[in-house]
Amino acid sequence: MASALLWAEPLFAQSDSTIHRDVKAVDVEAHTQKRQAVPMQTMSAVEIQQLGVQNLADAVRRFSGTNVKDYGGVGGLKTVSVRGLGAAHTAVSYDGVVVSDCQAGHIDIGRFDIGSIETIELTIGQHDGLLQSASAFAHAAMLSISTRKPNFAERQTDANVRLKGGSFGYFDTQFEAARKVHHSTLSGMVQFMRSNGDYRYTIPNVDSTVRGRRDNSDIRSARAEINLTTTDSSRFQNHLKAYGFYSERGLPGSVIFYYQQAKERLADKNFFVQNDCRLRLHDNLMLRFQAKYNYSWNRYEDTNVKYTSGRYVELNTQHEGYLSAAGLWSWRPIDVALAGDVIYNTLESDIKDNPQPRRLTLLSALNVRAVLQRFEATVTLVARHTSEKVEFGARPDDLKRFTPAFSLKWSNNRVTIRAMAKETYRVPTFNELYYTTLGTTLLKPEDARELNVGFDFGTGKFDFSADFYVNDVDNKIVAIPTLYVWKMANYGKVKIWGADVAAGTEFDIAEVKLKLTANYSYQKAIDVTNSNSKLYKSQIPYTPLHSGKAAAVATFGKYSLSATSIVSGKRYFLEYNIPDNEIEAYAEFSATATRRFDIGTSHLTASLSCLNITDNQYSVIKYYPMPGRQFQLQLNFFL
Amino acid sequence: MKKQFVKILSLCVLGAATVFVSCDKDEDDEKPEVKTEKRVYILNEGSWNGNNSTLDVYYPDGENTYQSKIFAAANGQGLGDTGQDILAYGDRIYVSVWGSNYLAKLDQKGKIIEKHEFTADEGQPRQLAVKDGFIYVSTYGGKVIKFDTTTIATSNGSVEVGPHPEGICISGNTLYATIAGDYNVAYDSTLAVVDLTNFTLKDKFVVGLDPNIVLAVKDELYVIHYTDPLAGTQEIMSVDPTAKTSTLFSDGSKIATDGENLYYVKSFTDYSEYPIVKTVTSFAKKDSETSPLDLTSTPELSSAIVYLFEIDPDNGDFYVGTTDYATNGVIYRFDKNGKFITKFETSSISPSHAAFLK
Repeated sequence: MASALLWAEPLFAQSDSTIHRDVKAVDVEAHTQKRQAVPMQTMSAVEIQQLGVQNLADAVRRFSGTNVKDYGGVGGLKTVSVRGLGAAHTAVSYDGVVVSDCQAGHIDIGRFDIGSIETIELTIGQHDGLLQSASAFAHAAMLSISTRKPNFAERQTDANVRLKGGSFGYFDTQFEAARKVHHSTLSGMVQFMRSNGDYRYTIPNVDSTVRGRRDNSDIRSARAEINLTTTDSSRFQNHLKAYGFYSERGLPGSVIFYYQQAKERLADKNFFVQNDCRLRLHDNLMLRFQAKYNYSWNRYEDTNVKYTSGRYVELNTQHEGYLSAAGLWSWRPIDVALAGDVIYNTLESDIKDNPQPRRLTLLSALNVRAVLQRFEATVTLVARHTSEKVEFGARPDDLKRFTPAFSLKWSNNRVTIRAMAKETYRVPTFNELYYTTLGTTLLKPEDARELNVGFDFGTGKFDFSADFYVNDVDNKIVAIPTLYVWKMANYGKVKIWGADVAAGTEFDIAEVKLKLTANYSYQKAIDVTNSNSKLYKSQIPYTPLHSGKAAAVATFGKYSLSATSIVSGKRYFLEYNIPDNEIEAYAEFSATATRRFDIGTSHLTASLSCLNITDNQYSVIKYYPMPGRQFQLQLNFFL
Repeated sequence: MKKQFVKILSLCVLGAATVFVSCDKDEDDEKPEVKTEKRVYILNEGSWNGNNSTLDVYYPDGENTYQSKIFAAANGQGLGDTGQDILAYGDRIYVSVWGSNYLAKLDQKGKIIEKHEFTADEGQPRQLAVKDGFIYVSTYGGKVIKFDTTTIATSNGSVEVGPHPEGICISGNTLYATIAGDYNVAYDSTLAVVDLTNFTLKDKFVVGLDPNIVLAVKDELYVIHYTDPLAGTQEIMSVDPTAKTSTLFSDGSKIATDGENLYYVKSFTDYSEYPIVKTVTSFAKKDSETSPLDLTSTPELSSAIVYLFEIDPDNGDFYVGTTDYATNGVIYRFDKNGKFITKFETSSISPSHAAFLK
């Protein structure tokens, strides 16, 4: 929604000033990136290029309070969890429509290409914008991705070509073109990417070192998109998108000492078509309709003598139908928004004993907001009804839940003070419910409660924000090892305390513009399940107590130079907090130089990046080493 | 990540604990070169994909000292991923490491003397048995592979026994291998009979679904199999290889022998009442009404998951190892009369097997 409003903004700005003011009054927060009732962080295409950001996961891990689980390499799984809540608690939206995966629950954010992104926005709690689908209110955090919009300032046709190449056989090319026709814009893009991913790594092993090269880590992918956006003055705007994706990759697996024989392969296909339409019926009434059909397919293959036929193949197909309608009525000082979604998901799989589940979800969200001078208070109520059907075997009981959220904000020109409380949960995934031997239909949703207080201070030259939070997770869905197999269970309570502090400043030294940003996160996330357990109060795996990020960008004329660092304290890779289970702290440094060349009305930017300059041999996930030092060259030509 | 769970299946499969202790009567064929004090080697499985399998040693006759991670200390590198089985023969220790895919011959300090890395065709190693200078290894390649203990670098042939052989045991001149068939569409349920005279598959017959452990007690043969693999319920079958019959003896999860009697453990965890998970553990001796172990000093054992159950063939001491799959294991030692002697924490997760070196 936020992203959609961002692209809506110029449109409405061109229109009747009275209407503009009304519209702006309704969603004024969307235009000011900070100043929200909840913590929100953004990154723009310009920053992405200047900082040499590699992929979406690399962008998100620069935000504070995030924990990106990165299995390494271009093709390695990358999921984002926010403030100690599991990855499935964070929704991902792509050009305004929520992306889902009912089978795995989490979204692999490594799959989204960074090259065509205009802005990335991470909101904890929920966005201040009210005209959103009900799904957008039903998660603990939201990562919104908005793709680049054509620039028709100079002409009726816009095009750009990107070439990217780098270490470990990485090559990526992308072509985008857009044409303006009356009130509509038609754009299309294609992208191809490949990588060998065969980087070297070293891992300490007692007094010796395991040296190896990532094997079976290659990936090839292709993507195409078509967008049709139509706007009719300020009353109507519509964005129709069709998206297709294919990839084939090796899964290198974890490094097993003395033995590497990764043979697993994964192929993915994804196709969706979505439409996002906004109507302003009246000065005080806006409507929004979304529709989506999503098809995703994957094929997993493993070769090993342990299978009777020497090979194991698994096919999974998911379909999703999605409809959403939302309305926003504004009678200052009260705004009321109501949204209703209908979502239908199916999974067809040849996994043994898979009951071919189908899930129907009805979601609705009511928001009421009061704005009184500098105060703004919002109450949200989300209702869900989920029911499932299976071909055979047990199915979970229907799920009916109401969850509230509340936020309060006070702001003036420079300062925003905020407080937020939100209750959410995540529905068990199809794998957790039905996967052979592992799943159980008795699972309840995993509950999460968020409390946040914080403030922003900003002068334009200097910005500072600090947020303090307490989160609770209950009925945590975990895999419990048994004598023979792992079993899913609602077993676990986690208590999380944390603080996210960020600061940024911009100033000039002679001709050079300098921008410095840094953030620091503290996160204590402890297991409080069972006071008799040896694990009681131990820090949950993969959660550093301290982490921080810093970036510096210097721009002078057509040149820019950046240096970035990501620092993470020690973590544990298992629940038991003993030194044997520690993963070392790490610091990663990268630098990027960019130059812009003007060619008539066109221009070219060239960027050279050195990533992980110190060749630090670290891993985010134990025994999934990250790439060492690598170089990348990127050329971007804009017509 | 769901793929992990498929793999984990294999990891969590039980191993045959006491095979070599009981089956092999020929240990005194080879005289140990260096004889110091008695050692009990404890193999810890570690966690899946954790490269944290470890080998510890315990000196029961000395000051009750315990040395952790002796393999790492002796070799400057870890054992690797998922130590599967261990046995002592002559004055050497043999260990199969499933994840890291090798069989190693170690000296008493745990230093590698020789190593065999299994080929993709041989498959990853599971359990071990020994007789007359030859080590036998069951593998994921559906084989039992034979190695000469003088050099294990290359194999001395193999026998195809069926999908996913698990526990193996030698009685007389016959090797028995349970065929679990975990990666089949359906589980297997047979016991393979291998004639060691000419190292060929002699017979195969049904003993019970998904059999995992086989043990010979004098002239009797016992097999543990899963009645419901997913629920983790197991029972002990009394097997007659001549008549090719298998009859229910008792429910049970581990078996061991002192050479004379059959001892067994019933350690079952009930997951049916999610999220309440309850483990009930008891110990038994065949043809005896009373528990062979006195748990008065260690009441926690009756609700702990027993992962290791071994008997010192020399003096009849019982070793019981527990796991919670998350923290380091605990070993309890009882004397042959069931009196609690001591307990100690191991150096990693899930202690699974012990080997006794006199």
